[in-house]
Amino acid sequence: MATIEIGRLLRANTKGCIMGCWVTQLAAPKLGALVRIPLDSLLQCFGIIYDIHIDDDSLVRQLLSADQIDTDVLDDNRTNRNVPVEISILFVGYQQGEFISHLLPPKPPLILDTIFLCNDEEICQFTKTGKFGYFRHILRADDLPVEEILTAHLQQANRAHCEAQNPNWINFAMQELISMLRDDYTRLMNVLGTVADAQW
Amino acid sequence: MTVDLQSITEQIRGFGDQIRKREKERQNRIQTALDLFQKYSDDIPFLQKRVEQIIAANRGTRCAKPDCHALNSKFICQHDENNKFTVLASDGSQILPDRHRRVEFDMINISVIKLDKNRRITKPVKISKLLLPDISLSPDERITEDIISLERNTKERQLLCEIGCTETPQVIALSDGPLELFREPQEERLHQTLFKQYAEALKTFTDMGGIFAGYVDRPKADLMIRLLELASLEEADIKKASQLRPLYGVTDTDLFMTILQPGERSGVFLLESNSANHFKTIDERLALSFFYINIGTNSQGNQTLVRVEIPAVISNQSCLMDKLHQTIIEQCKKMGSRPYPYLLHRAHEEALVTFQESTYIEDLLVSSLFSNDTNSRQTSNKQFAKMMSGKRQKYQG
Repeated sequence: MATIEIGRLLRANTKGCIMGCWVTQLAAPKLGALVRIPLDSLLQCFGIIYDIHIDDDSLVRQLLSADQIDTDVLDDNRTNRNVPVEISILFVGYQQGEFISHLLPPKPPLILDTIFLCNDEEICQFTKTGKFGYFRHILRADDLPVEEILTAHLQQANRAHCEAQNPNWINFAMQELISMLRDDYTRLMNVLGTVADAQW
Repeated sequence: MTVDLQSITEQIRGFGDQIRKREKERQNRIQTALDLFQKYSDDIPFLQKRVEQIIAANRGTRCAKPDCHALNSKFICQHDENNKFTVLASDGSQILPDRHRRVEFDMINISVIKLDKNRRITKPVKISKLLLPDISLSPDERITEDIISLERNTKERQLLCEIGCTETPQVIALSDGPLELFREPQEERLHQTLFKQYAEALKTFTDMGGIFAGYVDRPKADLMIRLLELASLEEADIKKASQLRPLYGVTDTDLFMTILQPGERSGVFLLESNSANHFKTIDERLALSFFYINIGTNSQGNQTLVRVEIPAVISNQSCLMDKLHQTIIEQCKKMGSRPYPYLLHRAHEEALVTFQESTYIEDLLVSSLFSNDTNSRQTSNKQFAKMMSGKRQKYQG
């Protein structure tokens, strides 16, 4: 199956990383998407996109003072200027050989490593392994929009599982979420409310 | 703080009084210049003859010379929706030789960016050239700051030619700064060779039908003012024209600001100077000319005038002049409250060498070429001491 390269690593630690990509590549990555970063032939990290950041600069601010922004200027700024989009990724597991784990990766990737969007098969393989242990990495990130990230991820994973004739996956995932959040009523209600808002 | 602020403040106060007095005198001179401008505006044959007389008697005279239009001619920007000219913009930057570095090296970095006929801006084309003074052992090839600057200008024009040749004849090439080179071709062989290459690039581009233009932001020139001074001289004073400057301190911008409305350009004038005349020796068509454009108001509400230098052969072709005029106005509008050609700014962005890049290149040179030197490569003691001082913590009390 074709791989979709979406960017390269800028910096990383054991819990996550930041990657840069061109605006033209931006069509692929979405909030909550599952990505993989091969470290070597046997090891790759899995992560979920939790932030997509586009910086401005002084030229962009100056261009905004014009009466209108022509399409040549727009396109030039989006495709030619060396202004990368930064995408933040939370690690949720890794794969060593054939073995997939929902623990944090043993080591972070190196700068300029390539990052790929997971296809449906890879999403199914990762998300059906174990008992949804990777949810805890998302749930413990206090300063992130956890409910939105979870919902976006569940939507994408559910679509992949439905394609793979596994429509019950989403039910098991929701049950596990409820079980994980049973002692945090507020967060549980927020998550369920956000999930209810999504289109399935 | 190392500056004696009290002394500086007193000096600034002193300047304030001087500036007020000077400004009053300058306004009087501006009015005189405007009166002369109106007086001589239509007397083109007289002005042309006077310039020739002055130049014959005073080598080194630098002034405007009218072509065929009245001095106070002005032209409105013609907006042609079908303006399909390709626009190229170039800029360059350089690292100058510094004997205090670990390795003495020079570098020029050029970029050209293109707006094609379909109004798309393409990825910039770049050239980086490294020069090592240590390699040269011939005094003829001594690399000076002038040489580097000339080589950079030459490479910019050559790259513009190379890219523009596939787009001609409908291509405009903009570069930052005047086309004129302010030092005359020196006797050193290298300088002369580079100057010829520079002029040849202009010639080639012009032969292909392209328009070369040098864009001068915030011009301080007084070429037209000088012409008015020379026009008002008595015959007996012609031989000492170089010493007589009754309108000194007034610039062309002061004059044309009162004449040109936003979007308008002046007529085209020939540039008479020793350095400009060297272009004529290569080809008459390369004689440098210039005009002023009012590119609009900035964020402070002030009108902005710029000077544009072009080869004389363009100035008589109204169709090409209209295209150039329109292109400059359109490009400047894109930058909003601080009008400046967008493409020129982008070319500058792409050509700029950062301090980090410069340091990285120095590291590369040391590790690649001089790793086997018995003398380890270090910065000079003076530079080392300076770098130490930059990190000191001074007690602020």
